[in-house]
Amino acid sequence: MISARFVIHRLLQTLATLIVMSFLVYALIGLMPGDPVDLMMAGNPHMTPEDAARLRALYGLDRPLLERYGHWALAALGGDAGYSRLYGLPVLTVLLPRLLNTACLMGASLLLTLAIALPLGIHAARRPKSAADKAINIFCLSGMSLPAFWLALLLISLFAVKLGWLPASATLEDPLSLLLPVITVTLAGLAVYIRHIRSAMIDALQAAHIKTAFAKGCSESRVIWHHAFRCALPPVVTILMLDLGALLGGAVTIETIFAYPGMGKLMFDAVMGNDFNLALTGFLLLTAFVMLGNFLADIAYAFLDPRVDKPA
Amino acid sequence: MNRSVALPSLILLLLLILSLSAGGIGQFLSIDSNAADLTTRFLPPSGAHFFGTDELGRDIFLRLLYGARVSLGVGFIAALATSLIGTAIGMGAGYGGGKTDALLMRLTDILIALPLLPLLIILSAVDVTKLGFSAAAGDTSLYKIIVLISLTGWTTVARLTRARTLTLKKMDFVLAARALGVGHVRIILRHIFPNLLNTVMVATALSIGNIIMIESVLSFLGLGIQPPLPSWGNMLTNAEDNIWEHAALTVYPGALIFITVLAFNFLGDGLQTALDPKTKRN
Repeated sequence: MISARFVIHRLLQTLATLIVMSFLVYALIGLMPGDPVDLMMAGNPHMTPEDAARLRALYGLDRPLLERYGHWALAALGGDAGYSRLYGLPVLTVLLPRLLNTACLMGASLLLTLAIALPLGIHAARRPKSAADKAINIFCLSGMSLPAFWLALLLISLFAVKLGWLPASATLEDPLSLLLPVITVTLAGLAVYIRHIRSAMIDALQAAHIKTAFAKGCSESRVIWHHAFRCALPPVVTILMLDLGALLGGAVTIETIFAYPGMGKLMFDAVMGNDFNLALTGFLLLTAFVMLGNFLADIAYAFLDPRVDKPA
Repeated sequence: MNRSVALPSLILLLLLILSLSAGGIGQFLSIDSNAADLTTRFLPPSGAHFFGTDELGRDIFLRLLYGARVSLGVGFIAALATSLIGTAIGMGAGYGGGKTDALLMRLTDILIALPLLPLLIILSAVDVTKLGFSAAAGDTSLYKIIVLISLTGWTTVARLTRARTLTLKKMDFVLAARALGVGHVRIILRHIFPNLLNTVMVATALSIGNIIMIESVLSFLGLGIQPPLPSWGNMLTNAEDNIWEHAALTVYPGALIFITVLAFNFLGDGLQTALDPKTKRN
């Protein structure tokens, strides 16, 4: 079992890294061209440079970086992440529905991915170097080399343009329209999962207790599912958790191509539209999810593999 | 030589030769790859234009070859740069140990925890004049993308080389060198580095495909290589705009990305089996 000390230690470590990270990201976003007052000036021909200087002083834009960061961090901790310039709404009001959209798209793809990758990975692991294993390996290498955005374009030109069966843009309201993006995301990520499941299963099948189970006369399917799969689980769950943050980041290209209002497209639009607040909060949120995923991966590993429980 | 390495090597060599001779091929066919001609838009493939023409009447075949230059060039240079940065950091952390190690590895962890594509999007929007650089004249998109990928891509190599360095520095031949009074710099360069070469070479080969993929994604989003310089990514951007009328345009650039990345991945896989069987995951 995992000790409370291990969990608390990892949690504190994650929080400390997140604080450092928030400053780095804040500084990075500040390097984007212009500042909010520049954008106001561009939109209003009656503003004079004196007005701009006055506004900069008013908003504190003339203060040193560390001071601005402090102000921003205090407000953000209180739940006030500012207004989005592009949408004219509080940042969180813009972000949360997008996050939900991405979670739906990615969740569906993840389920489909696991449904395909588990049987394929396990099948490949049963007889390493067999014809089936080699075929699956070639399939994986091809999948890893396939540009997801090209696949999306090909699927659109086939199913939307040529056949006219499915729409080329996706929304959550129309489940059918999600089919193409889900297939794209699944095919793009499938190979990595198959490879990990395969190698975890090969390791698990080499253990002594597997030989014992076979010697006792257990059937192959029983050995695989009852004896080996339990041991192969920790590394696979780890990959799943590590992927969590990346998944919620959405697939920028796929969401853009299918005009799907998710996190990836939002981040892209925010950076392109110089929406500082939105880009900053969005990026930090995604970073926090990656770190949460890493944290959960450690916890899950310790939980599933009783040998691991040593605070770093 | 392993058969699974021969075919991808052949394909990549062919692509390299064709892309390097793109200028000569253009002269021979008397086509300018950047000259727009609105009377010859969207021509189907023919003897004069092997893959037809695009939305501005430019020869697709020739533009694909110039795009290959960009992709292969960015792939090689950025892979080399990421490996150099990664090896330096990995060796420094592994050999230095203690606080150096902790600091460098925290840095690596932080970089790994940042979501890559959003990070690259923000980095590509960074205004370099705010960092004190003067705004460079002309099209710098090619250099920019190499720098961006090099700055973010070194973590894998750093982790690999650090782990190898940790093992190596405790081995007898390194201890013997220390006992003979050999300096740290010389030990790193003469004893540690040569023993890391196989690992680094395999990691470099495996990263080229990935880098070409990232370059094409950024160019597709309009953040990488800027037109009129053709790249497979920005050719797909144009193809997407015309997908309802001329779906065929999407096929060629993507297929080339796919084939090239696949060839590099097979090559890397083969190289791993040959040079570095220990780190090969089953």
